[in-house]
Amino acid sequence: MSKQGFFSRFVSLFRAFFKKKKKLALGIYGPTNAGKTTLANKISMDWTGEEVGIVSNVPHETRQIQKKENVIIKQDGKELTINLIDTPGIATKVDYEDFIKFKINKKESQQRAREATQGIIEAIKWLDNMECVLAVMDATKNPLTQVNLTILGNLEARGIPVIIVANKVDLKKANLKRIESAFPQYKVVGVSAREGKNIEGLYKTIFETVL
Amino acid sequence: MKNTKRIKKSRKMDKLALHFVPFDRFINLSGDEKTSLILKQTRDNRIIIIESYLDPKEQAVLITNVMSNIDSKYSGVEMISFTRHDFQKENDFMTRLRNILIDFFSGRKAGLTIVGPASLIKKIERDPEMIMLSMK
Repeated sequence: MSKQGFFSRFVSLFRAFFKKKKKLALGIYGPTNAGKTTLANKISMDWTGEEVGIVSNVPHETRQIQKKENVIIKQDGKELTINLIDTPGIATKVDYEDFIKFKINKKESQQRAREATQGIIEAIKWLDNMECVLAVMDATKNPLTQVNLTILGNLEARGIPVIIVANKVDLKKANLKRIESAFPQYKVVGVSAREGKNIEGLYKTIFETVL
Repeated sequence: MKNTKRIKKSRKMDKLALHFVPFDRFINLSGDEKTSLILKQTRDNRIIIIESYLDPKEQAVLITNVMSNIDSKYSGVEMISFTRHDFQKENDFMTRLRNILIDFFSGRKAGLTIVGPASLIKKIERDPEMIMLSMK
């Protein structure tokens, strides 16, 4: 993967110059169960007091794009208005039998699987609407998966600024350095969306990236 | 008993079909033909090995098409696509320059793509200089 270099910075500066007053479309992308909705909820709760979606251990709990508009985040006297967009987890497979393991009946599992496939298609289509993306990865897992590579590659190809959010750093198995060394060309911020750990660091990085 | 188990396992592995697509053939296919080929092979329970890299947009199109094809018999794919650069980060300047020129004149990054049906492959991972396929 080539470096996120001059072209991305140029696009980002171009956008910042012409769209300074506009709300920033901040997308949250990642594989299933990386903690995207937990992170969206944390950001939204911090600034609006309201959640974005339901969090669950069952994969593909988020099967539709969920938005929280006009979220004003503040950092060191600066303000940024964002439209926070939580997307369904990207996957290359959806097996209804995976839902049955969570004691969901067959009919509902098949329905969930259908909705999950549509959610993935929708999430990919929405890539073009994003102005900055938080690519959420589970810090306890190997980051060199095709889903992560596809997400990052597509953002790079579109010139969309991206911050890798290494989530779940509160867990014992978390390995932030593994993500940093897998993607040295990106900004990586380790957080625990559930515990709220280093969310301030993430806000700071968002400001540095888009302003 | 242990031997019998091994024989059974090896017989199961004997049925594994790999479909190889050489670089020259793949680059002459249109976007739709590439996706159709991968879908057909994986729906037929074959692992397809392509002597080429799928660029990120092609990967996204493939995922979208795989999702549209999922039904009770087909649960999707496991895949990995990489270029030689992903494995040769320590190259000297001349080697990198030569690779860039080859990619430029061939119009495509040389690499490899492995796509298999999710019914056969549990997981494909890069770690980071090895490709690991976990079979079901």
